[in-house]
Amino acid sequence: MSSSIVLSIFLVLGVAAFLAGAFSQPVRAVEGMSYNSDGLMALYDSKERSLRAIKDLELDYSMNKISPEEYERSRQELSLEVAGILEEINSHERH
Amino acid sequence: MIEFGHFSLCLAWILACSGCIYGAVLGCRASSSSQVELTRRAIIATSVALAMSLVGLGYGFVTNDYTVQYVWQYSNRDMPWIYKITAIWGGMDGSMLLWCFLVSMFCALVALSSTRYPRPLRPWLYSFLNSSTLFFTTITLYLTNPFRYVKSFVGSDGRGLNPLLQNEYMAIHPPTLYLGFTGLAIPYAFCMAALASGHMSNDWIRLTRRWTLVAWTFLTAGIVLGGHWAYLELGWGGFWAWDPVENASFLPWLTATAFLHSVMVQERKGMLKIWNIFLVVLTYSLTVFGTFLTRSGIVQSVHAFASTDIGWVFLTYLVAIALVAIGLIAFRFSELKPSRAIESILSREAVFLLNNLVLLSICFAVLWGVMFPVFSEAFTGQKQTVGIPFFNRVNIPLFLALIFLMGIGPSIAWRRSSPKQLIRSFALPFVGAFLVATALVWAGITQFYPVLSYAICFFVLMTILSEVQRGLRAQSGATHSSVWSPSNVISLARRHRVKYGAHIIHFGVLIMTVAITASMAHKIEREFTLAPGERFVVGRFALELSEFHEEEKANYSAVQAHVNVRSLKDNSIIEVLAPELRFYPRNKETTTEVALRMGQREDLYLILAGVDESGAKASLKVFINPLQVWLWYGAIIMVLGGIVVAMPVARVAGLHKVEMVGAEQAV
Repeated sequence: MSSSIVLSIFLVLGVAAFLAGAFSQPVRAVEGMSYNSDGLMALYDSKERSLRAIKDLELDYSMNKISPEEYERSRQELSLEVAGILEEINSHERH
Repeated sequence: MIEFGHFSLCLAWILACSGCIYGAVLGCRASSSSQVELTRRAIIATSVALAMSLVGLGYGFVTNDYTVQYVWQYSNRDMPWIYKITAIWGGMDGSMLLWCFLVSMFCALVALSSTRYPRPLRPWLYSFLNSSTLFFTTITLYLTNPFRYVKSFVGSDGRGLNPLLQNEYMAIHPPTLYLGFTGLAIPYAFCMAALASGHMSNDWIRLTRRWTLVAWTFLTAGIVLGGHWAYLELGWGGFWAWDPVENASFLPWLTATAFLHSVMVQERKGMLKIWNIFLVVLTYSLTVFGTFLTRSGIVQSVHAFASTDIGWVFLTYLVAIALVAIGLIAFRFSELKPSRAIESILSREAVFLLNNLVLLSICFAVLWGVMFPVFSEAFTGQKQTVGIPFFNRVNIPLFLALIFLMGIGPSIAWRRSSPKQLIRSFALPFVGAFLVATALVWAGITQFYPVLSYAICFFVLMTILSEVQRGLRAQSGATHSSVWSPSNVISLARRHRVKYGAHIIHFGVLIMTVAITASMAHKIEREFTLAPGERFVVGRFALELSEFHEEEKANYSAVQAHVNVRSLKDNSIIEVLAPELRFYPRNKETTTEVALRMGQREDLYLILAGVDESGAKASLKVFINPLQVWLWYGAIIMVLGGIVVAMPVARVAGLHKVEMVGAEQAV
């Protein structure tokens, strides 16, 4: 019983000290993954998706899963899409 | 120490409760970094407190503290120390405590790595992480508390663990399975936090996928370990009986698998957003539902814990999960519209969608089979159960369709493919599969499903090999190295780790499918009685009973039959098998211990069913299970594939960024 009480006191003190540390330590800055606004966030997501689609397209083409004509057509579409998104991001950031 | 364990549990409950409420409050209003940090630390502290609680209970078992009811119920002085440790989760109360600790451990791991997560997401994430821990801690503390003392003196020794649970697998199967179940609380927390905070970017999807994979890998390992344990211990010659509790672990596995495929579509196309949220919530709900099934006594199973009245708590929680999810989806509905639509039915995203439908169909069929006795009793007053034939009849065609899609999906292009291209990709595998089917029929295998299954497996194997070969060719073209050079292979595997990790998983599934087909279609089962010196011929073996042997162990007595396994070819003794009948006097239970000769071609599985009253004859049961060992090999390959896909590799992440920048510059 007495050992349980001693251990419980140590546990409570340890937990309290650990929680109190939240107010004494400088919290590290949030890196990379946050954006200025929801609109910009959505644009960055779209950009990432389209770039990934281009990467997938390149891979599929290199593995002979799509024809050269289909590759050219899709690449053209995706390039235009990315260009449009980049333009939107630029205008968003200018404002 | 028992008081310390109980106190730690109470402390964990206070921390989880305050963390859950405080996190939600911080999520709703602007809060300082210190406040958010405090919530994060509360999660880590909860996990430490629950670990201490588990240590307190374990100490009670190791020191034979039979003043504690739970220790008295599941332990005795004769049990080896390893079973005293495993007895911690041998009953419902202790298993709930272990569950709490594992949930909190996953939450703590997320909390430790969460300082880089998006700022708006964090308070909500911490709140939902705490909510899972809080629910299970509440049940443990108030309804299934393992720290209760016995009400009156019960003697100086305990009742002991169920003999079936006195097995090495008890040390590894439940914790692994629980790691799978509890890990699925993390994707749910990410999903709900993303909805609540409105931070619906790709970040939460990326993070959710990784954690789902980790849980999925544990769940896969846990399910297969359970099957292996059942195979070795239960003595009926099989590994999966569509038992309600087995099914309860399989249901979230199915929906998690569906999510792991459909999430790729969302990552690339911005589609299936609501569908993916549905799958995440459904997966978590099914883990809670599985716990409810196992612990409520609603269904009969050899794996179930004793019937209790905690079922309504689980049902209430399930309703709460559904209501919160529906409310948040409705609140964010405008942000969940798909960015684009499926462009062609001949595309990888269309195949993934089809794969999801098949997986969900299997899930529904299994759920229906599990719940049918409950529904039949509610509507007709009579409990009717559905057996193995129902599950096999419904699920075999669906599984074969799933395996077939496993060959199609990775080999077809994203966005759209032309029929001409498909013919080019799949003509050779189709011809190969047709030839395999023809050869099997010619060899005398005429059952429809086995032939179809082997043919489909061959088809998928060819598509996987073709994928690897095409990948190596493309890579060698880019790096100017030879196709099969080790550097080219390593470079390809590193560049496309997830893709080829998935192929490893699929390869494991193929091996398992072949093994399951063989063991179902070509199994031999015989029962016979032998006196010493007599023999029985089965398959390519002759079994000869040589003698009986009795032995006394600390906690059981046993009768062993020594059986010589002779080859029919030259009559030589290949192995001596010793199946056992064990009697546990404390539990007044008799169990059979299987004698097994594992081989690459087949398992010889021998059970001593009984000994006649004069002690002169043995009743034996033998199974010959073809390719059984390959089932376990396939599972190991699957788990290895899961590890490859789930492991964080910094260099690969860096490579991904470089490639993305490259693609952007090219545009």
